[in-house]
Amino acid sequence: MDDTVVTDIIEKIEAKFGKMTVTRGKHHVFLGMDITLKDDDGTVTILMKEYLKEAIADSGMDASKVAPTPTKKDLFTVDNGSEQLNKQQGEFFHSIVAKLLYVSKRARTDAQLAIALLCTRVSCSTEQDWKKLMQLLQYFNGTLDMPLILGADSLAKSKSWVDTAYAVHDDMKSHIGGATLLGHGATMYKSTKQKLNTESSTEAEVVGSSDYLPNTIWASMFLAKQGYELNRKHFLSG
Amino acid sequence: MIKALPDSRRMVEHPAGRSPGTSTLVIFFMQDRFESEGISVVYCPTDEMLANFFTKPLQGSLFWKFRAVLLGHCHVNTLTKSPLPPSEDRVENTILENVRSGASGQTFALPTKKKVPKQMEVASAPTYASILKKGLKWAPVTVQSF
Repeated sequence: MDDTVVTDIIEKIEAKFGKMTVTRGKHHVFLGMDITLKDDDGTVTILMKEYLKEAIADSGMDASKVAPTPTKKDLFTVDNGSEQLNKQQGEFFHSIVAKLLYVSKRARTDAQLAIALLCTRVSCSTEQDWKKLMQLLQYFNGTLDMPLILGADSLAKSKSWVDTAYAVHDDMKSHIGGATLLGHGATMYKSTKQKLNTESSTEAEVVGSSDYLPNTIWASMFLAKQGYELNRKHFLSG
Repeated sequence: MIKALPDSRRMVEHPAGRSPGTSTLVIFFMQDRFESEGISVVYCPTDEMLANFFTKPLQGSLFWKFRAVLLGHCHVNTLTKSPLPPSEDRVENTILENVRSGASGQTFALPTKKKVPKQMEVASAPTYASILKKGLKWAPVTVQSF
């Protein structure tokens, strides 16, 4: 885009709302995200290293420990005998989870499942939940430099994956997962507990698909309004 | 139509539980949308199911594979390019290769199918099960290249 157009728009905004900070070029820092644009392959790299470091330092975790995965196999098992965190600890737990929720919704897709589960536990957090949070933080500690890279082969093709895990939660509700990709990296994703109890895995699968379907439609409508018609939309179901 | 999903009000209206056919309505709603939006539904095998990353606490190789795709470090197409062919092909190919090249110095007796005499085939009348088998023969879904 022409530089003068950008300057012109900035001037117009500043005339109405007053002076603002302006950064130009291929690298920007915005709300804890380091955003880098690459011209050669048309990708965007998003890194949240400093934000994660801050969250790890706040938690008072041993900074030398690292974990290979964000979750252990027993993520969904809830130990009812585990000791409840006291009020102060519970609030602390809540604040760290909320912080990591922001990270997982921005640059770190890979922690989405762990965060989705921890978010359901903030009102009644236990020692076991704290351990799960520590595992996640240790994983982040080992992969601080891992960025999210977004790119697209073509703005005319999209693929959406949808799947449901039946009755994995403590209250026998199912868990929905979904992702939409245009080429490199997930541009849109979802990992949530279902809102209703279902009778069978098939029904859970149907509810999950219908829950994720609006995202696919929204993406295609959004792109259409920007002037890019998606003419090949795949909905991959398990 | 979206409200066809069972909500709290519906539950009150039908004290016996959920109203019949709510999930059927959801299916019809989805089919309607798939048609109007031009979305094609494709079956996806487990080892290519990216959404499993968001539903199961994966460990090991499947975790690395899906993470690389979701974080954009690898292209989406790397999902479908499985490094190993299906198990049946793999066995057959290795036997054939070894026999053809003869490099291994081993001789393999290729498993041969028992030849069924033609007369016998004609003689046996088609059973219900055999017709059903023929009619419902499973064919793998070919995913178009992305």
